[in-house]
This record gives sequence, structure tokens and C-alpha cells, in this order.
Amino acid sequence: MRFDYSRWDKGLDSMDFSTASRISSFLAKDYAEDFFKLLVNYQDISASEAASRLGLHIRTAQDFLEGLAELGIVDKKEVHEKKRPYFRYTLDNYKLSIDLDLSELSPSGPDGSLTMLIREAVNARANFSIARSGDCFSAVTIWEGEGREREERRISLTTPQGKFLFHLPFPKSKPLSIEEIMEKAGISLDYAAEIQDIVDELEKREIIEIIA
Amino acid sequence: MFFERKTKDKNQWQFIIYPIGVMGIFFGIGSFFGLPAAFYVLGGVFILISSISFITFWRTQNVGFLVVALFQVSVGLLCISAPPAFDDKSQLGLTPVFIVTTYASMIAVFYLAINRRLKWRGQEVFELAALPVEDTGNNYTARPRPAGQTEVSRTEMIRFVNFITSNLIAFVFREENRFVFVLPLPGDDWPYLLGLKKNYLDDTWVAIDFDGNVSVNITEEDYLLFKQDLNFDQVCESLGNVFIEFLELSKAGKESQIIDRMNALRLFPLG
Repeated sequence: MRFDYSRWDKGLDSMDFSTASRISSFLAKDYAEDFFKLLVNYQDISASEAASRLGLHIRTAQDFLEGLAELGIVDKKEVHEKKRPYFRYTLDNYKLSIDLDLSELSPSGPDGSLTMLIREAVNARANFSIARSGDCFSAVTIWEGEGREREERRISLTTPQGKFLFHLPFPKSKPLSIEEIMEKAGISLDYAAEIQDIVDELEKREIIEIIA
Repeated sequence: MFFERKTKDKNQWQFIIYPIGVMGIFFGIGSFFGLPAAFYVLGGVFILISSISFITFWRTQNVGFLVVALFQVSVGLLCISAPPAFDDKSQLGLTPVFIVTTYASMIAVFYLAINRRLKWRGQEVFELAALPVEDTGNNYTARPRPAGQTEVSRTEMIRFVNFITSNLIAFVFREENRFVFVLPLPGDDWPYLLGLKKNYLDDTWVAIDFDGNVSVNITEEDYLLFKQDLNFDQVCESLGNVFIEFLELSKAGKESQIIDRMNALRLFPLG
């Protein structure tokens, strides 16, 4: 997947987490600074030229440049000079910045829907551990797989999540919206994102069912 | 009051197993070692068993168990004091006194048992909880549930706890911010009484915190006590309501009505 770096640089697009993560991984390499120096100072450069100049294996230089090309940081152009074709790379943009909107990591975005109706799934293979205070759960243990393949996974809960799950309707009983359950449990809407996160996780593991 | 029973009886005839066992030991030893030896062993067994009744009295403050303990001690002493008089009537000693105390305490124990004063009332609480629930549906889940709210002061709560404990309605655990009422069925009480079980989490309980929040947990084993797959959500809520109602009656000083309500169910008084 190619990220249109120029669009993002002009403020037309926002960078997603995986793109930022890939850019960071390139920047974190030992030879990254020297590589970018070459790209800034040369009009264009091939992988073999960069490798010989920096003392790298040609494959390393090629992977690095291909990666930058995929991210749209460099332009790649195929050339033919009396030998078999190869690529030359040109830096596309002199400014490189990582700007992430972390609110997009919220399960349904910052304004995620709290109106979906939920309840505990029938025969959910989970055990809810009650907190010392007795008014909420402290963890949920989920069993996945069968027989020897069966695995146990324990998820520690924050206090709002524990209170929320404590008030989760039982299987087959009348489902409630996330918002209603939060109100019942006395949880502020400020915690909506973390509640949605645990709901999504437990829905994925078939502990919670969403009623259409 | 007529009503349809919604719970099954659990080990209704369990109470008969112990006397049969004791008789078996008595006749077994009697046939091998003679009657005096059998009486001595029987006396020892009764005195030993009386410690459980004393512990129950100490843990619950239920006076009935003090009477039971006195009966058991009396029988034990009678069995130990009687054998010397088998051959020589002049060696009766205190035997006539123990015969009188045994008869008197036996009548008292019989009266208490028939009036349900010696029975853990977990099943009656379950029956009361099931009474208003009509919907069915297999929706059991092994997790606690909030079951309402009530207003209660610490003094009222302590009074309620004392009442519940001494009337064998529930075994009470005191925690930092709440009281947990564990509902043992007859026969399931002794691990708590003897201090062998200190964790109630795998039993049925109702908790009331000092803010008045009521939570309920019903185990699968106890849920299966109901004859039908009653709607689990409603059963939990109803169990919470039963305790809220009991608490309200206790606050109003009408504890006798709680006992009347349970007695009106007319469940088997022994066991």
C-alpha cells in the first residue's frame, strides 16, 4: 500500500499509525542519516551507488530505497544505460515530519457509537474475577480453543471497565446500550473510549454479543 | 398459603444417615467387644460430636445448638456412666441424673427441630426468590450481578447481620466495605462453621455494602436446585429483593415476620 506522502504533507490527508511506524523504523536505522545525506546532496542515486558509498550490502540499500519509495518519500525512475534497466531514486520532499492523530485509535473514533445494544453471550467461556471492593470486576479470564490447544487469557480491567462489565446484562436478558450500562454503573462518558475498547475485545472473543 | 414448589429438595433424608451410622458402630463394636465397650465408644462419639454443636453455637449464637450440644453431652455421659451398673445396680452413680437430662434435652431438641430452629434456611430463601419468577430461559452465567439498592446504617446492618446469623438464614462474612451473606443449604454449612472454608466465591451469596448496594451471585449447582430453568436474571434480582425486604423488616423491628414468611413455605423441617 503506497502512502501519498505529498498529500499528507500538504495537510490533505492524515497519516495512519502503521505508516508512521514504518517511517520511524527507517529513521531508526544506523545508516539512515548518512543515507538521507546522500539523497539530499545527489540529484538522483541508484541502490548500487548508495551501497558502495555507505559501505552497505546492495540488498540493504535497495530495500531501504524501495521502502522510502513505497512511502512516497522518494521518487523512483527506471533508466536504461546500455545495460539492463535499473532504478534511480530522487528525494521528493526535504521536510519529513510525523503527525499522528491518536484519537483515531479509539475503537469507533472519538465520537464512537454508544447506542449499540449489548449483553453477555450465551455460554461465554469466561470467568469474571470480582475486585476487593466487591462492586466491580478486576479481571476477565477467557478460555479459547479445545482440549490440549485450550489457552487461557487474562485481561486486567480498569475500574470503569470493571464496573461496566459488572452491570452487563446477562445472556438472553434484555440488552442495553453501552450508554445505558455506563449510566447504570455510574461511569462518566469520559471513559467511553476505554469502555468501547473492552466491548470490542470481548465481542471479538464471543463473550459479549451485539444485538442488531 | 398454597403455592407451587419451585425448588427441589437436596439430600432430604441426609439427617437419618448419621443416626444409622452411629447405630452401626454401636452394634458392630457390641458384637465384637461386648456391650460395655460399645456404650463407651458411643459415649465418646456423642461427646466428640457435641463439639460441632458447641462450635455452631459459638459461631452463630443460635441457642438451639447449645441445647443440641447439651443433649449430646448428656447422652455421652449416660453411655459412659451406665455400663458399670449392668452387673451391679449399686454402681448406678449419676446415671439417673443423665437419664433425666437426656430425656429433657431430647424433648427440647425435638421441639426445636420441628419448629425449624436447627435448620439452615438457604433453601427457603431460594424458594422465596423463585416465587415471583415465572419466565424461563436457560441463561445461567457464573458471575455476580448488581441487584438493587437500599438505605441502611451501620447499626441497622449489624442488627440485621446478628439476626440472619442466629436464625441460620445465612453465614456472614464481614469485608472492608460490605457484608456478604452466604446461603448454605443444609449439610453444606459445616466447612464454614469449622473454619475450613474461608472463601465464599464459589458459593451463592448476597452482598450489601455500606452504601446500600446489593449484589448477588448464584452458583450453577444452586441454580440447578430450581425445578425449571427460571430466568436467571430475574432470579438474581428476586434474590436481591428478598434480602432487601428482609433488611427493611429488620429495620422496622419486624424480624418475626421474616421467620413467618419462611415457615409459611412449609418445607421439610429436618435435614
